[in-house]
Amino acid sequence: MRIKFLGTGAAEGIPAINCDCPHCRRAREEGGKLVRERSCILFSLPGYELLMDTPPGILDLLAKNEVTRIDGIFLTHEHFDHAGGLEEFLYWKKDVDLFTAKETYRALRKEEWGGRLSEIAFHILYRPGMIIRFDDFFIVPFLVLHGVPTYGLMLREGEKKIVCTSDSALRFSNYARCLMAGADLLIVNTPYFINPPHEAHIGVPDAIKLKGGVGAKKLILTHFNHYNKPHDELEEYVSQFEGVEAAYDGMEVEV
Amino acid sequence: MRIKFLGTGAAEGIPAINCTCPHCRRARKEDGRLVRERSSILFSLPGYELLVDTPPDIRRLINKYNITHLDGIFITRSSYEHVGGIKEFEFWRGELDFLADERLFEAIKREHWTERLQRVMFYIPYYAGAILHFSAFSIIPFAARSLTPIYGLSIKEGDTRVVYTSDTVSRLTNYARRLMFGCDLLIVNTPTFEPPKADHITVVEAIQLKKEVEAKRLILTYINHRNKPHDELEEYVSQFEGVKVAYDGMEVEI
Repeated sequence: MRIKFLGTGAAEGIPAINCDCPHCRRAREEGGKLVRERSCILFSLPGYELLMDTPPGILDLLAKNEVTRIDGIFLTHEHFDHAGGLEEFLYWKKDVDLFTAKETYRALRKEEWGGRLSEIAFHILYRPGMIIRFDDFFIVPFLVLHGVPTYGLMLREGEKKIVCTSDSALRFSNYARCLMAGADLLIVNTPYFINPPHEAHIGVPDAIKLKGGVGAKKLILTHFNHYNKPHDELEEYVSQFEGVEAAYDGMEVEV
Repeated sequence: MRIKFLGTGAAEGIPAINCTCPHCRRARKEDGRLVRERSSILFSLPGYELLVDTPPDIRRLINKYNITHLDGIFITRSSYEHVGGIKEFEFWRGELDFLADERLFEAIKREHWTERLQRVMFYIPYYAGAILHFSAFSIIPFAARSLTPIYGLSIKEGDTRVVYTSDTVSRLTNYARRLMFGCDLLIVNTPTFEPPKADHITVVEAIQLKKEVEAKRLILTYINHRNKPHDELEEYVSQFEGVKVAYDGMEVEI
């Protein structure tokens, strides 16, 4: 499958609104890989284009990456930086499937436009651990710890196995570790380089440790915020570990 | 997979508290396989040690069988003999998955849940009929009764299928029968020997069920003191092919 990282920033993106820290200033001046829109990943599966999360900047991201076909949207949780752009799909010309957990759907329904959700998409409820089987591939959402009900995702096509943790604390269920075991690609959200104790997230060194712990072949880090290292420094840091990469907006991977 | 029966007794265990029936008296005197602790089964799956149910005696059972590693706990029912020992895991070193249906979890939270337990357990709800996919195996929980939340489970690893009914009645859904059909091993809770006994399936009925669903093997467990003592029960089932009676500590490789 082909994977495209449309956005790789955390909740505030880089440059963050109204911020003049050195990282954000550099991003404004130099542009390029230093700029990160809010996180969103497009998975091109056999006969199915699956978009993971719809951040607030989704309209621009789709235009910029010339995405004209989406079959389904998988929402990992209800936070603004992950679901805030869903309303844009009111103007999407075709039907899309919307995969959410029941708590996420309930939260979306409470939005001012929530009554029109059924116009946007055909809702398909998923539950933790449950296989959603398509003809040539299947996905398995798994519960992670992140304050609100949040789900990671395992995608399996033939022998290939890809696992995205989405926003998660470092504490995983043994079940989730079972799904990650030996994955061809593990994608982990690491907003901070060293995760502050009060944040339900994973820091960069911890994610690299996780890769070793579960025996994943490759690790891609994404969902960075401006407290993290700028892209070039981050790239240099991860280059000392085998099979670890830092994503940037527009990055494509074939697995 | 390897299966170990840590306890094979029904709600009251054998010998039952305060009971002087011949079965319990024999168990007190002769010990051995006549003694049955409350039911709990350990499934050793690829990369995952799954304990099904945590009866009141679980601490002693875990120590007795030298179990130092578990990955998850699967609860089939919220009554005392199935979850009464859950609080023992407050002192578990490490983290455990806690797999339970939502209604079971609500009931367990009301009676047994604590802050300390919350730190150890990672709750993962399961739903009847929805496959729980682990990379190298999968589990399908199914409703064992129509109204009370009690769940059996079907475990599939490669081409091997094992079905544990937990506390089922003799009346099963056609869905559950379909899951059992042709399975390599069927494990059934049979507290008593023969009908009439409305709230659980009996030994006689379970052997009939094995025939109907064409299971290759059948193991009976969860036996109470009104049932035959182990030696007599063993003798009775020996006339049927592929039927065995579990005893505490019994191990099976499948």
